[in-house]
Amino acid sequence: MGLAIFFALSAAVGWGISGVLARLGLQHMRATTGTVISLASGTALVGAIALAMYGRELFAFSLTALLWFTLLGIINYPLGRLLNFTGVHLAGVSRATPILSTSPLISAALGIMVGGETMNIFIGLGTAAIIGGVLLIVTQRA
Amino acid sequence: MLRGVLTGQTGKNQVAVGLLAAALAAVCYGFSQFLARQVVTTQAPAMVAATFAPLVGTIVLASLSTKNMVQDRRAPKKAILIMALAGIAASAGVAFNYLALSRAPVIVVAPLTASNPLIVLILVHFFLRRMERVTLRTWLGALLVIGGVILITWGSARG
Repeated sequence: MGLAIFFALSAAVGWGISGVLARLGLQHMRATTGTVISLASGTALVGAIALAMYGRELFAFSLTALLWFTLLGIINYPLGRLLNFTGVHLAGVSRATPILSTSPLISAALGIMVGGETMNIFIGLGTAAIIGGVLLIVTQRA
Repeated sequence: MLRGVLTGQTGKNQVAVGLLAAALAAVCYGFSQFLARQVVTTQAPAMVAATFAPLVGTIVLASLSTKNMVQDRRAPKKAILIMALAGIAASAGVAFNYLALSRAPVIVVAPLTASNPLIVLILVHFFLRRMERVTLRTWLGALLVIGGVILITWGSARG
Protein backbone atom coordinates (compact mmCIF):
# COMPACT_ATOMS: atom_id res chain seq x y z
CA MET A 1 0.00 0.00 0.00
CA GLY A 2 2.88 2.36 0.77
CA LEU A 3 4.20 2.06 -2.79
CA ALA A 4 0.72 2.78 -4.19
CA ILE A 5 0.51 5.95 -2.09
CA PHE A 6 3.96 6.99 -3.34
CA PHE A 7 2.90 6.39 -6.97
CA ALA A 8 -0.39 8.28 -6.51
CA LEU A 9 1.38 11.29 -4.99
CA SER A 10 3.99 11.10 -7.77
CA ALA A 11 1.16 11.26 -10.31
CA ALA A 12 -0.17 14.42 -8.66
CA VAL A 13 3.33 15.94 -8.63
CA GLY A 14 3.85 14.99 -12.31
CA TRP A 15 0.61 16.68 -13.37
CA GLY A 16 1.38 19.69 -11.20
CA ILE A 17 4.86 20.14 -12.69
CA SER A 18 3.37 19.75 -16.19
CA GLY A 19 0.92 22.60 -15.60
CA VAL A 20 3.60 24.93 -14.23
CA LEU A 21 5.99 24.14 -17.11
CA ALA A 22 3.19 24.70 -19.64
CA ARG A 23 2.53 28.12 -18.10
CA LEU A 24 6.20 29.00 -18.66
CA GLY A 25 6.62 27.50 -22.14
CA LEU A 26 3.38 28.92 -23.57
CA GLN A 27 4.63 32.47 -23.09
CA HIS A 28 6.66 31.97 -26.28
CA MET A 29 4.36 29.94 -28.55
CA ARG A 30 0.71 29.26 -29.33
CA ALA A 31 -1.19 26.70 -27.26
CA THR A 32 -1.63 24.46 -30.33
CA THR A 33 2.13 24.25 -31.00
CA GLY A 34 2.89 23.71 -27.29
CA THR A 35 0.27 20.97 -27.08
CA VAL A 36 1.70 19.14 -30.12
CA ILE A 37 5.25 19.29 -28.65
CA SER A 38 4.06 18.06 -25.24
CA LEU A 39 1.99 15.28 -26.80
CA ALA A 40 4.85 14.07 -29.00
CA SER A 41 7.34 13.91 -26.11
CA GLY A 42 4.83 12.30 -23.74
CA THR A 43 3.75 9.72 -26.31
CA ALA A 44 7.39 8.80 -26.95
CA LEU A 45 7.94 8.19 -23.21
CA VAL A 46 4.79 6.13 -22.66
CA GLY A 47 5.34 4.29 -25.98
CA ALA A 48 8.85 3.28 -24.93
CA ILE A 49 7.60 2.00 -21.54
CA ALA A 50 4.70 0.13 -23.19
CA LEU A 51 7.04 -1.41 -25.78
CA ALA A 52 9.37 -2.60 -23.01
CA MET A 53 6.40 -4.08 -21.11
CA TYR A 54 4.49 -5.70 -23.98
CA GLY A 55 6.93 -6.06 -26.91
CA ARG A 56 5.18 -7.08 -30.13
CA GLU A 57 1.93 -7.70 -28.24
CA LEU A 58 1.61 -3.93 -28.09
CA PHE A 59 0.38 -3.98 -31.69
CA ALA A 60 -1.97 -6.95 -31.31
CA PHE A 61 -5.29 -5.15 -31.04
CA SER A 62 -8.48 -5.30 -33.08
CA LEU A 63 -9.86 -2.70 -35.50
CA THR A 64 -12.63 -2.01 -32.98
CA ALA A 65 -9.97 -1.20 -30.37
CA LEU A 66 -8.27 1.16 -32.84
CA LEU A 67 -11.57 3.00 -33.32
CA TRP A 68 -11.92 3.31 -29.53
CA PHE A 69 -8.32 4.64 -29.29
CA THR A 70 -9.15 7.20 -32.00
CA LEU A 71 -12.28 8.41 -30.22
CA LEU A 72 -10.48 8.53 -26.86
CA GLY A 73 -7.42 10.18 -28.40
CA ILE A 74 -9.44 12.95 -30.08
CA ILE A 75 -11.51 13.77 -26.99
CA ASN A 76 -8.58 13.65 -24.57
CA TYR A 77 -5.82 15.37 -26.57
CA PRO A 78 -6.67 17.69 -29.49
CA LEU A 79 -9.69 18.76 -27.39
CA GLY A 80 -8.87 18.10 -23.72
CA ARG A 81 -5.19 18.99 -23.53
CA LEU A 82 -5.41 21.88 -25.99
CA LEU A 83 -8.24 23.44 -23.96
CA ASN A 84 -6.29 22.66 -20.76
CA PHE A 85 -3.16 24.47 -22.01
CA THR A 86 -5.25 27.34 -23.38
CA GLY A 87 -6.84 27.72 -19.94
CA VAL A 88 -3.44 27.64 -18.23
CA HIS A 89 -2.05 30.19 -20.70
CA LEU A 90 -4.94 32.67 -20.53
CA ALA A 91 -6.29 32.35 -16.97
CA GLY A 92 -3.10 31.24 -15.19
CA VAL A 93 -2.19 27.79 -13.88
CA SER A 94 -3.35 28.52 -10.30
CA ARG A 95 -6.91 29.31 -11.44
CA ALA A 96 -7.19 26.82 -14.32
CA THR A 97 -5.95 23.71 -12.47
CA PRO A 98 -8.68 23.55 -9.77
CA ILE A 99 -11.29 23.91 -12.53
CA LEU A 100 -9.61 21.16 -14.56
CA SER A 101 -9.74 18.94 -11.47
CA THR A 102 -13.53 18.90 -11.54
CA SER A 103 -13.52 16.19 -14.25
CA PRO A 104 -14.60 13.40 -11.79
CA LEU A 105 -17.87 15.33 -11.46
CA ILE A 106 -18.47 14.84 -15.21
CA SER A 107 -17.48 11.15 -14.98
CA ALA A 108 -19.86 10.64 -12.04
CA ALA A 109 -22.68 12.44 -13.91
CA LEU A 110 -22.11 10.24 -16.99
CA GLY A 111 -21.96 7.15 -14.76
CA ILE A 112 -25.36 8.07 -13.30
CA MET A 113 -26.98 9.11 -16.61
CA VAL A 114 -25.54 6.44 -18.92
CA GLY A 115 -23.85 3.77 -16.79
CA GLY A 116 -26.77 3.06 -14.44
CA GLU A 117 -24.87 4.13 -11.31
CA THR A 118 -26.84 5.61 -8.42
CA MET A 119 -26.73 9.06 -6.82
CA ASN A 120 -26.00 9.19 -3.09
CA ILE A 121 -25.31 11.72 -0.35
CA PHE A 122 -21.51 11.72 -0.94
CA ILE A 123 -21.91 12.50 -4.65
CA GLY A 124 -24.46 15.23 -3.82
CA LEU A 125 -22.20 16.86 -1.20
CA GLY A 126 -19.15 16.50 -3.46
CA THR A 127 -20.98 18.17 -6.34
CA ALA A 128 -22.00 21.08 -4.09
CA ALA A 129 -18.40 21.47 -2.82
CA ILE A 130 -16.97 21.46 -6.36
CA ILE A 131 -19.51 24.03 -7.59
CA GLY A 132 -18.75 26.23 -4.56
CA GLY A 133 -14.99 25.96 -5.12
CA VAL A 134 -15.23 26.76 -8.83
CA LEU A 135 -17.50 29.75 -8.11
CA LEU A 136 -14.94 31.09 -5.61
CA ILE A 137 -12.17 30.89 -8.22
CA VAL A 138 -14.17 32.10 -11.21
CA THR A 139 -15.75 35.11 -9.51
CA GLN A 140 -12.53 36.63 -8.18
CA ARG A 141 -11.17 39.65 -9.97
CA ALA A 142 -8.19 39.09 -12.25
CA MET B 1 -13.93 30.26 -28.95
CA LEU B 2 -12.44 27.17 -30.63
CA ARG B 3 -11.28 29.35 -33.53
CA GLY B 4 -9.62 31.68 -30.99
CA VAL B 5 -7.93 28.68 -29.35
CA LEU B 6 -6.65 27.39 -32.70
CA THR B 7 -5.50 30.79 -34.00
CA GLY B 8 -4.19 32.12 -30.69
CA GLN B 9 -6.36 35.26 -30.97
CA THR B 10 -8.71 35.50 -28.01
CA GLY B 11 -9.56 39.21 -27.83
CA LYS B 12 -10.09 41.25 -24.66
CA ASN B 13 -11.66 38.70 -22.30
CA GLN B 14 -8.52 36.59 -21.96
CA VAL B 15 -9.16 35.35 -18.41
CA ALA B 16 -12.83 34.54 -19.07
CA VAL B 17 -11.92 32.60 -22.23
CA GLY B 18 -9.18 30.81 -20.27
CA LEU B 19 -11.58 29.79 -17.49
CA LEU B 20 -14.14 28.62 -20.06
CA ALA B 21 -11.42 26.62 -21.85
CA ALA B 22 -10.43 25.00 -18.53
CA ALA B 23 -14.07 24.09 -17.81
CA LEU B 24 -14.48 22.57 -21.29
CA ALA B 25 -11.22 20.65 -20.82
CA ALA B 26 -12.64 19.23 -17.56
CA VAL B 27 -15.74 18.08 -19.50
CA CYS B 28 -13.47 16.42 -22.12
CA TYR B 29 -11.35 14.74 -19.41
CA GLY B 30 -14.45 13.57 -17.53
CA PHE B 31 -15.94 12.13 -20.71
CA SER B 32 -12.63 10.51 -21.69
CA GLN B 33 -12.25 8.95 -18.20
CA PHE B 34 -15.65 7.38 -18.70
CA LEU B 35 -14.63 6.14 -22.19
CA ALA B 36 -11.21 4.96 -20.97
CA ARG B 37 -12.91 2.73 -18.40
CA GLN B 38 -14.81 1.03 -21.26
CA VAL B 39 -11.64 0.73 -23.39
CA VAL B 40 -9.36 -0.79 -20.73
CA THR B 41 -12.02 -3.23 -19.51
CA THR B 42 -13.17 -4.47 -22.93
CA GLN B 43 -10.56 -3.66 -25.60
CA ALA B 44 -6.91 -3.44 -24.53
CA PRO B 45 -4.55 -3.11 -21.52
CA ALA B 46 -4.22 0.37 -20.02
CA MET B 47 -0.65 0.99 -21.25
CA VAL B 48 -1.62 0.04 -24.84
CA ALA B 49 -4.49 2.52 -24.74
CA ALA B 50 -2.20 5.09 -23.08
CA THR B 51 0.21 4.75 -26.04
CA PHE B 52 -2.14 4.76 -29.00
CA ALA B 53 -4.73 7.31 -27.84
CA PRO B 54 -2.14 10.14 -27.50
CA LEU B 55 -0.48 9.00 -30.75
CA VAL B 56 -3.78 9.52 -32.57
CA GLY B 57 -4.22 12.83 -30.74
CA THR B 58 -0.75 14.03 -31.77
CA ILE B 59 -1.34 13.19 -35.43
CA VAL B 60 -4.78 14.86 -35.52
CA LEU B 61 -3.68 18.04 -33.71
CA ALA B 62 -0.42 18.35 -35.69
CA SER B 63 -2.33 18.14 -38.97
CA LEU B 64 -4.90 20.72 -37.79
CA SER B 65 -2.32 23.23 -36.59
CA THR B 66 0.42 23.03 -39.22
CA LYS B 67 0.12 26.78 -39.96
CA ASN B 68 0.60 27.72 -36.29
CA MET B 69 3.55 25.37 -35.96
CA VAL B 70 5.26 26.95 -38.98
CA GLN B 71 4.68 30.41 -37.46
CA ASP B 72 6.08 29.24 -34.12
CA ARG B 73 9.21 27.70 -35.67
CA ARG B 74 11.33 30.57 -34.31
CA ALA B 75 10.18 30.01 -30.72
CA PRO B 76 13.12 29.90 -28.28
CA LYS B 77 14.67 26.43 -27.97
CA LYS B 78 14.33 26.73 -24.20
CA ALA B 79 10.53 27.12 -24.56
CA ILE B 80 10.36 24.06 -26.85
CA LEU B 81 12.35 22.07 -24.27
CA ILE B 82 10.07 23.27 -21.47
CA MET B 83 6.97 22.15 -23.41
CA ALA B 84 8.58 18.77 -24.13
CA LEU B 85 9.30 18.39 -20.39
CA ALA B 86 5.69 19.40 -19.63
CA GLY B 87 4.54 16.52 -21.86
CA ILE B 88 6.92 14.07 -20.20
CA ALA B 89 5.77 15.18 -16.73
CA ALA B 90 2.09 14.77 -17.75
CA SER B 91 2.75 11.30 -19.20
CA ALA B 92 4.76 10.31 -16.13
CA GLY B 93 1.72 11.39 -14.11
CA VAL B 94 -0.51 9.10 -16.18
CA ALA B 95 1.96 6.18 -15.83
CA PHE B 96 2.26 6.69 -12.03
CA ASN B 97 -1.54 6.83 -11.79
CA TYR B 98 -1.84 3.45 -13.58
CA LEU B 99 0.89 1.99 -11.35
CA ALA B 100 -0.91 3.24 -8.23
CA LEU B 101 -4.26 1.86 -9.46
CA SER B 102 -2.66 -1.53 -10.11
CA ARG B 103 -1.62 -1.72 -6.43
CA ALA B 104 -4.50 -0.09 -4.55
CA PRO B 105 -8.22 0.57 -5.06
CA VAL B 106 -9.41 3.80 -6.68
CA ILE B 107 -10.88 4.92 -3.32
CA VAL B 108 -7.30 5.19 -2.00
CA VAL B 109 -5.61 6.48 -5.16
CA ALA B 110 -8.10 9.11 -6.39
CA PRO B 111 -8.07 11.33 -3.27
CA LEU B 112 -4.25 11.44 -3.42
CA THR B 113 -4.09 12.29 -7.12
CA ALA B 114 -6.84 14.87 -6.52
CA SER B 115 -4.29 16.85 -4.47
CA ASN B 116 -2.82 18.02 -7.80
CA PRO B 117 -4.21 21.61 -7.48
CA LEU B 118 -2.46 21.98 -4.10
CA ILE B 119 0.85 20.88 -5.67
CA VAL B 120 0.31 23.49 -8.41
CA LEU B 121 -0.45 26.26 -5.91
CA ILE B 122 2.68 25.39 -3.89
CA LEU B 123 4.83 25.35 -7.07
CA VAL B 124 3.32 28.66 -8.23
CA HIS B 125 4.01 30.18 -4.81
CA PHE B 126 7.69 29.24 -5.02
CA PHE B 127 8.49 29.44 -8.75
CA LEU B 128 5.94 31.66 -10.53
CA ARG B 129 5.45 34.36 -7.93
CA ARG B 130 6.24 37.05 -10.49
CA MET B 131 3.71 35.73 -13.00
CA GLU B 132 0.76 34.77 -10.81
CA ARG B 133 -0.70 35.87 -7.52
CA VAL B 134 -2.29 33.08 -5.47
CA THR B 135 -5.04 34.57 -3.31
CA LEU B 136 -6.72 33.12 -0.22
CA ARG B 137 -9.82 32.75 -2.39
CA THR B 138 -7.90 30.52 -4.84
CA TRP B 139 -6.62 28.33 -1.95
CA LEU B 140 -10.16 28.00 -0.52
CA GLY B 141 -11.61 27.26 -3.96
CA ALA B 142 -8.96 24.59 -4.64
CA LEU B 143 -9.55 22.97 -1.21
CA LEU B 144 -13.31 22.86 -1.82
CA VAL B 145 -12.78 21.25 -5.28
CA ILE B 146 -10.39 18.64 -3.80
CA GLY B 147 -12.86 17.89 -0.98
CA GLY B 148 -15.64 17.54 -3.55
CA VAL B 149 -13.57 15.18 -5.73
CA ILE B 150 -12.80 13.00 -2.68
CA LEU B 151 -16.50 12.87 -1.72
CA ILE B 152 -17.53 11.95 -5.29
CA THR B 153 -14.87 9.21 -5.40
CA TRP B 154 -16.18 7.75 -2.13
CA GLY B 155 -19.76 8.08 -3.33
CA SER B 156 -18.99 6.36 -6.66
CA ALA B 157 -17.09 3.53 -4.91
CA ARG B 158 -20.08 2.91 -2.62
CA GLY B 159 -22.29 2.56 -5.73
